[in-house]
Amino acid sequence: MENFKPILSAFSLSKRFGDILAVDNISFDIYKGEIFGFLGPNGAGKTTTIKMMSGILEPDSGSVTIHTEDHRRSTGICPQHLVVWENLTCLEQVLYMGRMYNIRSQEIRKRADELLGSLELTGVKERLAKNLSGGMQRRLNIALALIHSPEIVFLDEPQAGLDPQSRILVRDYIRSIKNRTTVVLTTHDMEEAEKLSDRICIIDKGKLLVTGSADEILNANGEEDLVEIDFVSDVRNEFLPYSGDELISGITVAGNKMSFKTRNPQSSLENILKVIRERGLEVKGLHLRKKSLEDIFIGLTGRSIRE
Amino acid sequence: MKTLYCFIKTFKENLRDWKIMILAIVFAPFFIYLMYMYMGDSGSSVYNVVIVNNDLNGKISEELISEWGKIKTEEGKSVLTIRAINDTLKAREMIKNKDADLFVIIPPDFSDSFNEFIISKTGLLSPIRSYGDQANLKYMVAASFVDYTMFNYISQKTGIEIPFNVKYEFAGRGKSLKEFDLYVPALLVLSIIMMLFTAGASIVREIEKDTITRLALSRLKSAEFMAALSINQIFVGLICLFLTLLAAFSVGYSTSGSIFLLFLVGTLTCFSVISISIITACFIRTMFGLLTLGCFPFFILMFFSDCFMPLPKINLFAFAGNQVYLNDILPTATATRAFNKILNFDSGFSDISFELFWILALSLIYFFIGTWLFKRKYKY
Repeated sequence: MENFKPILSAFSLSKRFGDILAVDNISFDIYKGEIFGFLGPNGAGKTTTIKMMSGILEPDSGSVTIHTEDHRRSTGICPQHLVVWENLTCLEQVLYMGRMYNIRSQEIRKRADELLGSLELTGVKERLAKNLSGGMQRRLNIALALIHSPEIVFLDEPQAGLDPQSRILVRDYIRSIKNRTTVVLTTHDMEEAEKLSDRICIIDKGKLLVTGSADEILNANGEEDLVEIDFVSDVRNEFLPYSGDELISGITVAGNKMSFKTRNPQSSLENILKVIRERGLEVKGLHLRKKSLEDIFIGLTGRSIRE
Repeated sequence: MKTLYCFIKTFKENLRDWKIMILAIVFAPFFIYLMYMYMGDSGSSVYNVVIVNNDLNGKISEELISEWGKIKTEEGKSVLTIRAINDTLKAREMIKNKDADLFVIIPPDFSDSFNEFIISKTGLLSPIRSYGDQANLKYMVAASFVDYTMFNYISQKTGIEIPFNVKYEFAGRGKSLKEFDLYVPALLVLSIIMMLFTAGASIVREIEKDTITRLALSRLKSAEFMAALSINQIFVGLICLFLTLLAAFSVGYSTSGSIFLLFLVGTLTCFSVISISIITACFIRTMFGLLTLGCFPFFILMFFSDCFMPLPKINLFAFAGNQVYLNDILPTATATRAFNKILNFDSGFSDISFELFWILALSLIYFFIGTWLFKRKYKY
C-alpha cells in the first residue's frame, strides 16, 4: 500500500433490485497498490458492489470516488462470467481492446505479447476464443481487463473454474501486478483470499461485516484454535471437569475422541496432558487446527445455503 | 480510427459466424430463381380467356376470335391465351379456380344477327356475355382488351365509325413488362430486409456475451460503435443487393436504369433497415431471441414493402406534392417504389428525389430512436 492513499472510496453505497436490497449502505476505502479481497456467500452483494465501483451500475444512493485522472482509462474489469468475443482470436481481441483505449499501435502489440505470455496464452494467440479451453478463456477474460494497464482492476471471481495449475498461474500473476495496479477481487475461496489479499472485506446480505487484513480479522473476531485428542479407549465424562483451564471452552467427548477450543493452545495442552497422565489415559493422536478465515466467515455469515 | 477497428472486427465476426451471413446473402437470390421458376419467361403478362362459342356455323364469331388472338405486345407476343371449350359449367369453374381470367360466351345467333344488321342497318347484335372474378386483377384487363378489339372489329365490318379511339401503350422501357419484372424490385428490397438479421446479430452478439459492457467501459463512444456497425452492414447489404440483381440478370432480366441510382437507394435502404434492427436489438438479449422474435419485425417490414402482396393505399397526408400512404411509415415500401421506377421505368434522379428524401428522413428518425433506446437500455 502506497502511503495508505485511497485510490477508491465508496461511501454509503446502496442498491435495490425490486424487493431485494442487494447492497445496504456500505462504505470503505481501497488503497493504492493493495489487493483488496471481497468475501461473501452467493448473493451477498459482491458483484453488485463491484459493478457499482467499476461504473457499470448506478447506485441508488451513495457514491464511488476513484481518485485518478481518467476514470475510464484507470479501471479494468474482469467479470465473473466470460466476456470474450468468441469469433476473434486471443491476439485480435486483446489488440482490439487496446485500440479501444487509444493505446498506440507499437505499445499495444508489446503489451499484448507481454500479457498473453504472462497468462500463458502465447501458444494459442491465433486461436479463436470459442476454440479455447474453459481455463484459457478465463485467462483471456483477465487479459482483456488489463490490456490498457489500468490503475485499478476489478476481478470478479477470477479463479472460478480453473484447474490447480491455472489457479497458481493466475494467483502469481495477480501478485506480480500488485505494485503497479490496485486489485479488487471477489472470491469464495478463503485460502486464496487469505494468501492473496492485503486486506479483506466480508460482506453478507448487502452489509459489510468486517474489513481488515487477514490477521486483523482473525485476531479481532475471537475465534479459538480447535484441539482434538484421540484416546486408545473411551474416555469418561467425569475426567473433564478436572481440566481446570479457564481458556478452554466447548469441550465435547464422543467415544474415544475429545475436542475443545482454546485461545492459548500451549498452556491449555500442558494442563490437559497433566490430567491425562494423572488418569493414566493412553493418547493415540493429537490434532491442533488453527483458527481460519473460513471459521470466521462461517461464524459471521452462518451455515445456511444462500443460492 | 476506432470506428475503423470496430468495423474490421465486426466484419471478421460476420465472416466467421457465416451461417447467418449465408442465410442473408442467398435468401433473396433464391427467391429470384423461385419466382422465375413459377413465372418463367412467359413474355408479357398473359391473360387467359376461355370462350364458349355457341355460334357454331357463323364465320363472324370465328373471325372475332381470330382478332382477339392477334392482340400482340410490342415484342410481338400474344396478350390473350384463348382456349375454346364447350362446357359452360367447366368455364365457370375455371374462373373460380383462377385457371382463366375471363370467360366469354358467344350466342348461337351471333353471326346471323350480324348479317341481318349489315342488310337492314337496324337492330342490335345478339349480346356477347363475359364472366369474371372481380377480385382477380387480370379480369378487368382481359375484359378491356376483349371489348375494345370487338368494338373495333365490328366498326370495321359494319362501316360504322365509332367516335372514339383507344391506343394501348405499355409501361416500361419501351417494351412491356413481364410480371416477373415487377417482382425484381421487391426482391431487391427483400435482400436488404434480410440484413435485419445480420445487423441485429452484430448487436445482439455483443449484448448476449456482455462484451458491450467492455466496450462501454472503454473509450469507444456509442456513436463510433453504431457508425462501425452501420458501415459494415451497409457493405453487407450492398453485397446482398448486388447478388440479387445478378441472379435476376442471370434469368434474363434486363434494365437500362441507372445502377448508380439503384445502389444509392440501396445504401439508404440498408441504413434504414440497420436503424430498425438497432431498435429490434434493444428488445432482444440473445441470438435465439433474434432468430425467433426477430421474425416479427422482419415480416412487418416485408408485409409493408409490397414485396409479395399489393396493399390498399391508405392516405396519411400529402407532402411536397407527394401522397404519403400508411405503409410508407416503413422505408421498405418507398424503396420498392424507387427500385421499380429506376429499374423498370428508367427514372432519373429527379423522378425519385422524393423517395430518396423520404427513405433518408425515415432512416434518420429510426436511427435516432434506435440509438436513444440503446443508450437508455445499455447506458452506452
